[in-house]
Order: sequence, then structure tokens, then C-alpha cells
Amino acid sequence: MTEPATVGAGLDRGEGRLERTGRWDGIHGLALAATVVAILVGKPVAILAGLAGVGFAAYSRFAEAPEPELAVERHVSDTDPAPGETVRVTLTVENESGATLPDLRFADDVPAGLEVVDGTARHTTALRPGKRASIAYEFAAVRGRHEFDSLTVVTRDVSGASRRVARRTTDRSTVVCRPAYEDSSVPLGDLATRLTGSQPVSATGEGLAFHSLREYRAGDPLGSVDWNRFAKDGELATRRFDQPRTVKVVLLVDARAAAYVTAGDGRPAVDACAHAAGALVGGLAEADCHVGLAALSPRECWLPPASGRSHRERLLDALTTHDAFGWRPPAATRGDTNDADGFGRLLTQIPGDAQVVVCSPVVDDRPVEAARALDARGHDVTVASPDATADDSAYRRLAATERRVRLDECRRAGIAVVEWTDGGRRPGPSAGATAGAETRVATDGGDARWR
Amino acid sequence: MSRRRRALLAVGIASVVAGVALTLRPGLVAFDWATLATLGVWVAALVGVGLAAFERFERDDAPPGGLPRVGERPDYGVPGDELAAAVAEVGAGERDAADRDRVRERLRVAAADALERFAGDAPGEAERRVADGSWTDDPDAAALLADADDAVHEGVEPEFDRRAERAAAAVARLRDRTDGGEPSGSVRGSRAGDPDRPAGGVADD
Repeated sequence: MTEPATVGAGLDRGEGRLERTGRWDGIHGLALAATVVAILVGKPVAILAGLAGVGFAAYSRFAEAPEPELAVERHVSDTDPAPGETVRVTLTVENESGATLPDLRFADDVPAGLEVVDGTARHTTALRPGKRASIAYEFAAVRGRHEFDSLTVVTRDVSGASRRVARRTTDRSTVVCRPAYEDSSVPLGDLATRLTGSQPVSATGEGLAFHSLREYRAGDPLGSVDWNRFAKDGELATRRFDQPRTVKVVLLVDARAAAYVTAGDGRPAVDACAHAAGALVGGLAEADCHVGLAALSPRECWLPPASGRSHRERLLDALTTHDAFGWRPPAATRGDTNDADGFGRLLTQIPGDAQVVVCSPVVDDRPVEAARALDARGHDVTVASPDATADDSAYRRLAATERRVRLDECRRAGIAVVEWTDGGRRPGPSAGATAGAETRVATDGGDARWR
Repeated sequence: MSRRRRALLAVGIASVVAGVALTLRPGLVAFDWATLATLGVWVAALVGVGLAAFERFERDDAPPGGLPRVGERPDYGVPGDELAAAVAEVGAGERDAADRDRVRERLRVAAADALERFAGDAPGEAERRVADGSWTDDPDAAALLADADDAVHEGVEPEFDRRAERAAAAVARLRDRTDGGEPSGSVRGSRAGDPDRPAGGVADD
């Protein structure tokens, strides 16, 4: 006489199945017992009591839940809401099957991430032919592309002995909520491309601003020789000038299942990481960096570094709508587990002259391993980490402590760490200069003696 | 036709049928206890069917039992809860000794790392302090992670969950003591002038 807590679990869109509820499982025994008692006491009329049970048992054995033919209409009040705005959804179901549906239950398949704040997305009713039933509910918009394209329908026969469960596809309604990412930046290293740009990295060359002096080498152009120094000390020295370069930055967003944790506000850390990456897209693009995007996730997302307004829009669109940064964690990877989070593939995709900003809550060791591997390959790496830990139990405080230890391990390895808060980065002791403003180091053989 | 009138009509028809039957065949039913019981069963069954039908067709606010929960976010975990769940699942008996050791090892590593990070201990020193129990004032936490005879850990360990929680709290307190201060013995991830940092790929002039 018990039913599972949730029906329809595991059904894909368009699938359905007929199930027996088992509600009348014991009725056969009761009917038999009543008949036996009637025979034992010698009262034929009492056998009629058993017949009632036999009737129920026969009905439950042969009755089948009706197959509903429904016309579904869904109306969404706003398909392009701002974050936090409430959107009203009205769902109307009409019985087109020509027969009464004595027990019809339906639930709109509200996309993951959306929370109903008013009304309900489920309904139970009986529906005669041609009649309609409507529900209305409101949800608060959050970042992402949210597709309404199905609903779960359950019908039962009158006795409740069987039910038919189906996920029916409906006309698609799409709600896209695009946050306004505030521009922000993080410390960048000196790794740059050979292209002239506007980032004052440590490169020296054909620029205008004086950078440093170094010992004269045969072949240096005479125009670059510091003749004043030669006149003063008799020593030949070559003047070097700043040469701003173009910097490529790949934003690597940790979107593994492990990053789908929350500090208790119901939002996964992946959402905070996506917001951080969105802010960095703007800040780095403003600093004339070429920005790319990648997801550390089984769900592949890779946009190579480039510049321009349309590319910037493409990056922000990916952070808003790509499945890799969605609200549902990725499923466990099957088969090849050597590259479960796609990091091996990313190593072949990230250009050798690109810096990498890892956006991760750092709740396990994997982001640290990835950052160190990238650092070992010569990339300048920065970790931008939103804090997704809580402190209301001993184990949660322990997790926060472990995160702090991991971040410190990054710092020990020479990797800059930025503690990211909702309003942007929180400059830690390691967060020195931001893009385009840091002290530069010569990398072409000059040393302090010649500065 | 209103519901009330329909119900009255049904009762009336049933009464007429019963009256006609008893008129034509007096003594059709002997009202002894067996007949009453049989009638009771049938009345209960028919009333049940009637109530169920009424419930289905007339109520619009029936509970949506069995339908999936919708309009709620996935139940994301909070960091640390997986360890709490692992500790809660592990038993105190000999059969669960391996599971307890896994928990113990994780706490040991966390304690040693925290000692290095927040107390400035050298790696070997941190492990020694965890092993001899001098890393914390909490005797329960110290005893849980201290090196002991295998027989102690492989036998029954009552109150393992309480000790594990105290050990987790003791490790977290190591951070609390230095919260807001500079990490001891750490090299900050400064970019400029870091001699150990590999040179970037900037072209020479």
C-alpha cells in the first residue's frame, strides 16, 4: 500500500510508463478470508461480503490508468529578466482525450536553479473532456538560460491501482537572465605575446619610455648606446626601452561537480566563479588583454583568447548560458576517467604564451594541482577564489581551514591568490599590482646593476 | 442538478429497488448477524468508492502526492558535510576499523598541514606533534590522532564520532588563532622579483 516518494524519476522528455501502485495488494487475502469465515460458520449470505473484496481485486487487476491527450499552453511574463526579478509562469492544460481523467496530476518541469517564490508548479485535479486546468507560479530570475520545454504528467484510474507517468514535451519557452558583470581585474604576470600591445610587461624593445641599461653587446645599434655613460665612465652601455605587449589571459572556471557546493545561501560556488570570470572579462578586456574562457569540467567549454567587442559578448554569453556553468552539477563521468575534468585537453588548447586565471572555490586539491601544473608549464597563474565555506559546525570550519591551507600552498608555489568576494576581488597580501600597473622585471639578461 | 439532489436521487432509487425486492420476495433477507455484517462490508465499500469519486471530481486542492519536487534548487552540499556524513556512517566496531582509519588519516593530514601553515611548524615537526598529541590541549582530539598500538585502532572504538568532531574543531582552532594575520613561513605569491619564478615568454629586445 505504499508508493515511492517521487514518480517519473529517470524519465527523459517524451518517455512514459505504466506502473502498478500496489494499493490493493492485500485485498485478495481479505476477500479469501471473508469467504472462508462464511463457509466455516455456515452462512451463505456472508460469502457476499467476500465478493466485495473480489470486486475490488478484479478492478485493480484489470483497470489501467487512462492515457491522457493534453493540450498544454505556457505563458511566461518576461523572457529577459534582470537577476532577482520575479517572472510569472501560467500553465494551462486541456483534456483532449475525449474521456474523463479521474485523477490527473501534473508538474511543470521548472529548470534547475530557479526557485518558485509564489504559487505552485504542481497541481492535482479531475478533468472532464474539453475542460482546462491552470496553474500560475512565480520564480526569481537568476543567471542562465532556462528552458521550459516539458512537464511531468501522472494519471490514475479511479481506484488508484495503476498510474501512467510521462514527461511530455511542450512548446519551448526560454528565459535568459544576463547579469551585469562589473569590470574587475587581478594581478597579472609578465608572460605576454610577441605582439605589441598596451600591457606594460617586462619586455624591452622599440618603445619610448626608458626601461633600464645593460652591458653593451656586439651588434647593438649605435643609436641605443648611452654615450653619456661612456663619456663619464668609459663603459659602453645599451639603453633599453619599455615595449608594451599584448597579453593573453585564459579564464579557467572550476565547474566540476566538486565545485557545486554552497556556503549556505543556496547558490553554488560555480555561480560565484562565473560571476568572477564575467567581471574579469570586462576588466581585462578594458586593459586590452586578449581574453579566453575554459571550463574545468566534463562539460567542454573552450573559447580561445581574442579581443574585440563581439568576442567579449561571446565570452559573457558563454558564462551566462553555457551548460558547463549551469545550475545542475555534471553527471559522473563514465568510461575514460583519466581526464574526467577535461584538464588534459585544456593543456593542449591553452596557448603557451597565455596567462591563466583559475576561478575556483578551492574546496579540494584539484584546482591547486591544475594551477601548479599550469605554472610548471610556464604560464603565469593567478587563483581567484570565492569563499564557499561555512563555519557553523566543526567539520565545516575544518573545510574552511583546509581551503586556507590550499590557498597558502599556491602562494608558496609563487602563484598569486585573490580572495574573491561578491563585490569583486578582495586584495590579499599577495594581490599586488593589477593588470598594467605592476613592477616589471627584465627578462632579457639585464640585472639590478644596470637598473 | 445539485450534488445534494443527485445524492438524494441515488438513495431514493436504491430504497425503491430494495422495497420492490422485499415485497416480491418476503423473507429474502434474514436480518441475522451474518447479513448485517455483509451489508456493513458492502456499505463501507460503496461509501468508500463514493468518497473517493467525490474527492477526485470535486476537490481542486488535493495534495500532489508523488509528483516530483519542482521549483527548488538542487541540494548543494556545504564543504565539510561529506566528512561529517562519513563519520556518522562509520561504526565503532572492529568491522569498521578500516573506515575509521581513513577518517583518522584525513584528520591527521589536515592537522599537520594546519600546524605548518598556522603554527609555523616544519613538516617533520608537525607530524611529530600530531603523533605525540602535543598539538592540541584537547585530550580527545589528541588521542584520536596519536600514534597508538594497532590493536587499539582495530578494536572497538566507542565515541569515535565525538572524538573525530573534537579533532576537527581542534584543527579549525589552529586557524582561528592566527586568523587575520600573516601566514607564518609562507612566501606570498608576488609576481615581481620572485627569483624562483620561471621566466615568462617575453621576447628579448
